[in-house]
Amino acid sequence: MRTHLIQKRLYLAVLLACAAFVLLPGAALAQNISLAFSPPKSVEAGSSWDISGSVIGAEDMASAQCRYRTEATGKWEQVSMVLEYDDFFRARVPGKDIVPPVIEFYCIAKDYFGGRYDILGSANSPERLKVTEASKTKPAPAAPKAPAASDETSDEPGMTPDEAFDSADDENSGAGDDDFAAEAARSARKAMADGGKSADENSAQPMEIVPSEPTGSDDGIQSSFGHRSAQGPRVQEFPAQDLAAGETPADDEAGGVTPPSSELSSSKNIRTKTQRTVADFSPEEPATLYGAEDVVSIASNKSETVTLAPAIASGVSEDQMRDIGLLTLPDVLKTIPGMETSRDVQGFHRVAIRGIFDDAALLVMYDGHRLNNAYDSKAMLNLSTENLEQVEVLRGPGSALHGSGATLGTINLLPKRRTGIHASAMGGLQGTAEAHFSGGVRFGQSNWYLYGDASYRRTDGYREEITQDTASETMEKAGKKDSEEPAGITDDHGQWVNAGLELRRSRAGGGTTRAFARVLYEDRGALVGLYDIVGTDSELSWLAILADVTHFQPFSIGNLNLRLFFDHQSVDRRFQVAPKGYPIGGTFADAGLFEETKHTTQSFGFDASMDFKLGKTNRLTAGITGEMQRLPSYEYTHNTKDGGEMVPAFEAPLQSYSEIRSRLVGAVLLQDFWQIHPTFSLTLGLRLDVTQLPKAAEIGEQVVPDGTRFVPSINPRIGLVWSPAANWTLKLLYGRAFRAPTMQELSDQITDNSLTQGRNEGNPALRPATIDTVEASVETTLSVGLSRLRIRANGFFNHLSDAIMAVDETGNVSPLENREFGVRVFGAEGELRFEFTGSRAYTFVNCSWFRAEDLGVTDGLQYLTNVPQLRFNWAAMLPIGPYLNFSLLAQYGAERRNNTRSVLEAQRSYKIPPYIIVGAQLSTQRLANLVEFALTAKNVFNFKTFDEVPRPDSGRMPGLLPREGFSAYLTARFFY
Amino acid sequence: MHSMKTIKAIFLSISAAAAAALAIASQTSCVVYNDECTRFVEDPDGIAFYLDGSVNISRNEVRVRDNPVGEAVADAYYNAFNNGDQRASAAIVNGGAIREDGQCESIAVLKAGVIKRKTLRDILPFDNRLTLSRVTYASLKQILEHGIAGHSVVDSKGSYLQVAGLKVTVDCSRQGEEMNEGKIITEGDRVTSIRIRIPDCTASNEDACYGPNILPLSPQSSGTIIYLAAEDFISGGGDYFRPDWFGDDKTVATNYAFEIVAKYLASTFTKDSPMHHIPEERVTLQNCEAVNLTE
Repeated sequence: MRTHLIQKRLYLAVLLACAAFVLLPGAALAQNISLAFSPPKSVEAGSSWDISGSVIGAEDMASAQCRYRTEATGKWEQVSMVLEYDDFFRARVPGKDIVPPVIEFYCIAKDYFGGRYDILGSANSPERLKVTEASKTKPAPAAPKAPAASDETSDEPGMTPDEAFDSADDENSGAGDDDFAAEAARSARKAMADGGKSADENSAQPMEIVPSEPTGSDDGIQSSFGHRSAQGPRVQEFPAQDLAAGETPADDEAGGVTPPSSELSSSKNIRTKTQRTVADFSPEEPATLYGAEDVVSIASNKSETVTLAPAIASGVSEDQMRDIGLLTLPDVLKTIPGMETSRDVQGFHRVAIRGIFDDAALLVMYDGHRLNNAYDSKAMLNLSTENLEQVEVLRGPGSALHGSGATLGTINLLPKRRTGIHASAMGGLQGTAEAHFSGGVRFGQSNWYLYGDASYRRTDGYREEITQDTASETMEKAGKKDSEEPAGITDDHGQWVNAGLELRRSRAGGGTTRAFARVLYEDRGALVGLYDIVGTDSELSWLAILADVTHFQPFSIGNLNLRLFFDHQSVDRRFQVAPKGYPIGGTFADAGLFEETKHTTQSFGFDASMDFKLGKTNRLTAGITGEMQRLPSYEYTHNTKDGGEMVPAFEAPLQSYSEIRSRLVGAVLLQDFWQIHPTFSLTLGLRLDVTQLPKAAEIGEQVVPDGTRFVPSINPRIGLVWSPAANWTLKLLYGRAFRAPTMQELSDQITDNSLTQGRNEGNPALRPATIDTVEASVETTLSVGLSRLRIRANGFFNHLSDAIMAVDETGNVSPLENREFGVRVFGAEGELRFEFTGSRAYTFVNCSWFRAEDLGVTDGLQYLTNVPQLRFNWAAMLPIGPYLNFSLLAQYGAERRNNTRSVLEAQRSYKIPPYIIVGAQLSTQRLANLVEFALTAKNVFNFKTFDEVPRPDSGRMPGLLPREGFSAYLTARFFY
Repeated sequence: MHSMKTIKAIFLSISAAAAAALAIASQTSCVVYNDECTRFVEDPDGIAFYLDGSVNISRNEVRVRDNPVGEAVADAYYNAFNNGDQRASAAIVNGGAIREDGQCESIAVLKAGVIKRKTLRDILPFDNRLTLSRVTYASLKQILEHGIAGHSVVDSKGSYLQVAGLKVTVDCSRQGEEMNEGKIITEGDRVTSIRIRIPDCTASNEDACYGPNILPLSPQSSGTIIYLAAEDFISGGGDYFRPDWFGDDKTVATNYAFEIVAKYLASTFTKDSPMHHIPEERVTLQNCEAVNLTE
């Protein structure tokens, strides 16, 4: 009886779900193009006014028009949207048409295949704004030059709005739009710089809500981000994504105005949303910094909102980084749910995603170019955020698009690319100083653009005592150290250079070619050193040069993306492995003992892909990629035998084998996006990679490379995205990813001496590791009064097979191996973001939890606990008057303990208590439209925290690795 | 426009909610850790062996002189290969393989009575394999010069050897081996006597079960082969033992060294016949300045 009742209830639930799916009209359209529009409180009569905002999905947009009507026009008038810069478009409504009491307007975009999108309001549900009387004291804003071709048309008698729209579209061939866009952009900036308020800043009166007249089709449809009632006032805050009842995409040819395609490239170098800065708005205007949806491109190789992307993704904009004082990339990553950062004894920044540290399982890209070193897969992470426009993060598998290494996650760093100048200077404690410059220029009226960015940073670093290290006992016995003295001090000094240059040519009508190059350089101390010994004379340097040439070409049947790439990385890591005066062979090493590794890696290759539109609801991408990775030079020297000259550690290191030194990688990929229903989309992807790896042969007791083999990896993905109601999005995702063993993992050899017991050893027989991930997420946006509350939650399940790890079981050599039984991780992440309309105030809180188990370990010892299982991040920004902002960032991480995968790991126990680290920042708005200041403090309460070390047992480093305490920085930023 | 009051109220409520969630989460089982005292051994509370008195197994004991636990482990290795065609003539175990760092607490001193398997696992934490190597008399002398008679005697290095099937005499007044990071600079000559146990000896006088001193070596005797049991850590070159001393022809036992030892100790040192807390004199140190920190 009870079972029967349960079954009935289940059937009912399924029926209701189906009904909601089918019957809910006007449900949010999961569409590709939308407009991030922030309405002013009102507009002033007689002053021209721009309908403007960032277009999400701009690369798919062939044209966009806005239609408006007032008492002056009587009927609908039309203006084209033109590209102002990056993905920011506007349509100018002439002042003569703006008369009280109200203006109605809506905007429509068309893609290259004739698809039509309501990106702001709709014909049946237009937006409305109050029109106030003209102010007598207000200076008239500078007017742009008239466009070469008029884009204002009126309806011809008998034409429907859509026909009129298409007619106007056809008449505007695009000639002169580039000129208009550029001139409009310059005029707008000049108007603001002159101190005259732009047409947007009609903020003298408080916002008045205009009751909307119920229209025939107004049936209480909710927009994605605003809210409306059929009878009451309508407040439109964000772009409506309603599909007006009865409106269907017209079957007309694509064409008409094509915005300059300077930003319409796809593949990995898509330009995503560029946000206007705080200074673009008056204090009373609604803040749209965070109101517009985060946009990323790494989930599908095209711009899309994180809500609709078939992945669990986050985008952190430069404004967000500035507002809460995230000065470096690790600072940013630490605020992402599911991610944790730490340092190791050599000073490298490590990133754990969902409980697992693995450099080779996290793909890091800089503007679409892989940054992971081909030898050891480390990526230079200690980068300043001044150069960055956005950090995109994808948690979960990404190999279906990006290939090897995108296993636990993918990060893409987007550099600043805008015209104008931005410079900054920063100084702070610990001798920290930084200078930055970035800018862009368009060459006359041509389609050529040049962008550049450069920064230099240096620091003396933090200094904390290391009470004991591996050499302490030996030094004390030799009379070289007093037992009361610490073993040493952390050495975190360094300097960094990050410089990039891009030359771009964008042609109206399509076709964008980019050539860009970047240099990253790091020169620093070792924080502690190798083998848990403080080596203050260690020096590590790292140079990375990246270069790409890309071309985007739209055709009638689709878009073509081509890319050629090259990179070169040089590494020189000289570690002091024993301190000065260390006893050796009956004498003492006056300068200490050293090991030095130098290597050079190079990669070069190509990507080619084509996007096809199959019908109106299906997009197919096919691609091919090829890459050669090389290790042209490798040197490993030491003087640990006698403290004298540096000599090669091995006569024939495994790195000298050709099977290790070069690797071919090829792949083909297919991805299909299918808009099955306006509320439901399906993404299917498959990538086949073939990686050249060595075969292994046993010679004596050694395993050496002997020939190569091509190892295939098949990486599928499935993404279901369903928007059952206007403000709700559900996702169900599956993906498989892989990561090939690195050249280092295949060949690593370390000298055998008393300092290196328990060392890793390379294994040429390693197989790629794979991960299968299932994720489910739900997101909703709720209106709270005039403000907005966004809630995201997701759960995940990871199964890692053949995980490549070294577990010390003998205390001598820890060979790298594929873990036989796999690793399982499951968990959940949540985020809550509250945005106050009409205020700069903002707050978010996110949390993450995971449980990770090594399935090959005895019950009771299987949990992986060296990453905090529970993490919280909370940030808030509070305005103080019109010009100041105060922000707080609080971060919590649960207790960490050693893993226990072997007896030795269990014996080398440590407990790192939970941490709460608080950061604060006092910053100004942009003053005189030119300059901002920020005073940033990290770890305000000087909370003592530590990171793990390989050997925390007595006789090694029981005190663990102390992390930095309080620090403070003052930054001045200049904009022009 | 929201008033500052409203904004503060909302901030405070969200913060309170976050703090409450954090407090709840930290008190629940959503964060788990491994049991610190769970051992990597089956039947951890099972009996490993019996001991008739306290034994100090700290590094300053097992790496400096004969030790009953060390000798028992060496005996286990000696007997591990006595069931097949190849039999061990002698066995060695390095003092560094015997640890005092317990997983839960230090176990520097074993008390009389029952010693449990989990304690034995703490004592022998390394998962090494046992090997049987064909070793010449000359190599055997070098192994003993390095392991016993070298600097280990004073410095309590992990390479100090506990032995089985051997009686060795060392005179520290003679030239000791000098080695620098794996390279012998000076050959040692402190080992003055090596006597090898006679297989299957049943003489009542234990001393009578050992053959004559094989030293000094002659060109004919240097190449005499014996079978020496040791962990692969040692025979593979750990602790600066040279692999060529052990040759290439090795037999590897199927089980891990720990299980071999556990089985031997359980069957040998029973309640009626516990391990004696005073070691046999297998290595005689003459003129050596070993520091006895247990006094």
